[in-house]
Amino acid sequence: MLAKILSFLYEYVLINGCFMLTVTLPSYGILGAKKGRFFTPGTIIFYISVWIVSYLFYDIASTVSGFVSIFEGMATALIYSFIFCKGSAFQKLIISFLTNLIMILISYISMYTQTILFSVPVEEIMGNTPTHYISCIVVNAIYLLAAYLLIKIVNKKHIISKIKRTELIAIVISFIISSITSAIVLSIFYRYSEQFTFAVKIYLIACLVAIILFNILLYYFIYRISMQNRIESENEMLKIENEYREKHYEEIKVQHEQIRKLRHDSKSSLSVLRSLIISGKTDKAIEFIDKSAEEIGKINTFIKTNNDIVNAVVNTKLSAAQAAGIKVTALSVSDFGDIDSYDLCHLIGNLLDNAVCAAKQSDEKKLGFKAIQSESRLTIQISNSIDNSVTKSNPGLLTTKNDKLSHGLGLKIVKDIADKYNASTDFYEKDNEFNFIISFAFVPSLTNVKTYKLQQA
Amino acid sequence: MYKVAILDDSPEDSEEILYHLTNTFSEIHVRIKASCFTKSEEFFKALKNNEFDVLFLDIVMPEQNGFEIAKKLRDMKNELYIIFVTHHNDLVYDSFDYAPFQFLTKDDLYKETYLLKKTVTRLIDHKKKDVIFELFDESKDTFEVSSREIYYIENDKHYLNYYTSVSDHPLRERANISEREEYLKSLDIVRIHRKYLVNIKSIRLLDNQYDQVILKNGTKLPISRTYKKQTEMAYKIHIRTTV
Repeated sequence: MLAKILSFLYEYVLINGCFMLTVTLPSYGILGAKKGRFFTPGTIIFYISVWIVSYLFYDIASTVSGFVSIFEGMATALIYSFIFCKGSAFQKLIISFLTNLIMILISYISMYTQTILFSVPVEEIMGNTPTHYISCIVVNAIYLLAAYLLIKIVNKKHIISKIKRTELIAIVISFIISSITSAIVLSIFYRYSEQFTFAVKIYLIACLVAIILFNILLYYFIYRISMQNRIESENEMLKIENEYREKHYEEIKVQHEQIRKLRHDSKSSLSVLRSLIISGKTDKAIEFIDKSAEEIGKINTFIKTNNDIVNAVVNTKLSAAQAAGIKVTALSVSDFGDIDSYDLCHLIGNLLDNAVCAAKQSDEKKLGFKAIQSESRLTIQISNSIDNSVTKSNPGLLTTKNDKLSHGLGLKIVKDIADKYNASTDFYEKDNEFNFIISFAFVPSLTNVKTYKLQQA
Repeated sequence: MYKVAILDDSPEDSEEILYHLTNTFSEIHVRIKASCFTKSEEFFKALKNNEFDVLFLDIVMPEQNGFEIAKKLRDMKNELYIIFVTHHNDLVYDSFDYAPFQFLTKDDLYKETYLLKKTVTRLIDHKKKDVIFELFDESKDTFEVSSREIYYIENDKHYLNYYTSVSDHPLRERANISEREEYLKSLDIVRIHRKYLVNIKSIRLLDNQYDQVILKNGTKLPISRTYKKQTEMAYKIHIRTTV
């Protein structure tokens, strides 16, 4: 009687409890519990009901191994995560699947390792023997450890969110392939184990260990490489930011120079006015005022849109261009819709930088900025005069500046931003004029197709 | 004969525009018939009895500005080409939903005459591309449809189904898609798929991610790999002409 009670306690409280914990822990640990006050009592009720179910079907399902337990474990994990955990259905499915796959691998590997190491038949481990009890405890302890490790790995550094999709696919595929291989090895083991010598069995176990090691190493290296790539792209972004700041500084210097000149001019023109008024030539004085007002009006406001950042970028850059002797024309819509200011600033800034640079080197020295909106599109065109064809000599529009490291990233930014908004980019030459066009379509459901974030300094 | 309307509140400016236009048109040996208006009512009155090919429209006017007039024309479903003329080089305009044919600034008109010439050449090009199709619907009624009013054409065995802004259901023509393809291409209606030809002007978005076009009437059509490059190029060239 006592033995029966002990056996019952052991089988249903200890082993089944471990099993339940292993199955449900990863979903809880990784995804987190749903909000609500019923989590703890709910979980207890869930555990008890699963215990009752597994007790009722005890004859069909052995809770430690066998194919039924695979489905049982999977089903338990899924139901649990769907009732109690946050996250999408896909995440829940993946986590339950992973947990169960790991459990099956562990149970098979540990079972056969035991049969080989202690040279006891599988039946003895499966059957109602002392060895069975010990092995069950060991296996369940390994389960718990694996579940704990799984939670740690996934949670600690938010690795999954940092790894790119292609890398994730590589990891998952290699994991699936090695799982299949190890399953084949195990099934060979299971069928022919009696014919194998001890050495062959050791080799096969070495094989399995190698597969596991390979998986761990692959995972580790992909993670390392992915981190490295991230750091590199971040550096690239920082470099661009740096370049920007320097350029901005130059522009401010130019503006400062202009203001200084203006102040100097106004001093002299005031004295001219004074002498004109004193000598009674009011007509001439008025004429002089009109003329100077026109001069001042010419400076600095090329466009006046609703977007202050765009105004600042375009007006400073165009003023600097004008100061450098370039003939500038500008025309713009007042509203840029849903396009992010930061993106617009980067986009227009980069294109204008390139255009100003090219226009300076040409004979005609012309620069044009146009932002035009039609029924379905917002089109920005930036044009500059050229002496020689660019598209023929440099069809990929690579940088011609000397410092290749910090230059030449501008067009990459432009293309990235265009991709973000599903906008089309185009460049062409006509009549000694180089044109770059970017065209945004107004389709509300498509403006946020890709999630993309520029690093903000 | 090219029929031009000029709407500008200042007669002197109208005259200037007309002077440059006459010069440019005579350079390419096209005769024009121009009518100048200083008030929008005069223009709309004249529009009832006359047909114009193009309207040169001043943006800043005291009573009704250029954009309002453009919108009114659009509401009237008038397909007249509009060229906005601005007398300020630093002009910013409010967003509006009328696709203009071109913007010309004062400088463009008076100093950079090549721009006006380019515009005029394009106008004449476009007039050549305006072709009237005679199509029929299911009850065999005939319709006259301008090539500008076509959204897309679908191949249906021995027939072509024309989806247009004129009618809710497709209009038909007995023809073979391969035979018509080359001719339609010259009208900016390009093949994007074994089954479809699309009017480039009616494309709202060319979605490279899903290999499809979304038209202005909301229709989505697939682009097949064979015609992808051709479609992209035609679309890009169309955008170039609208800036």
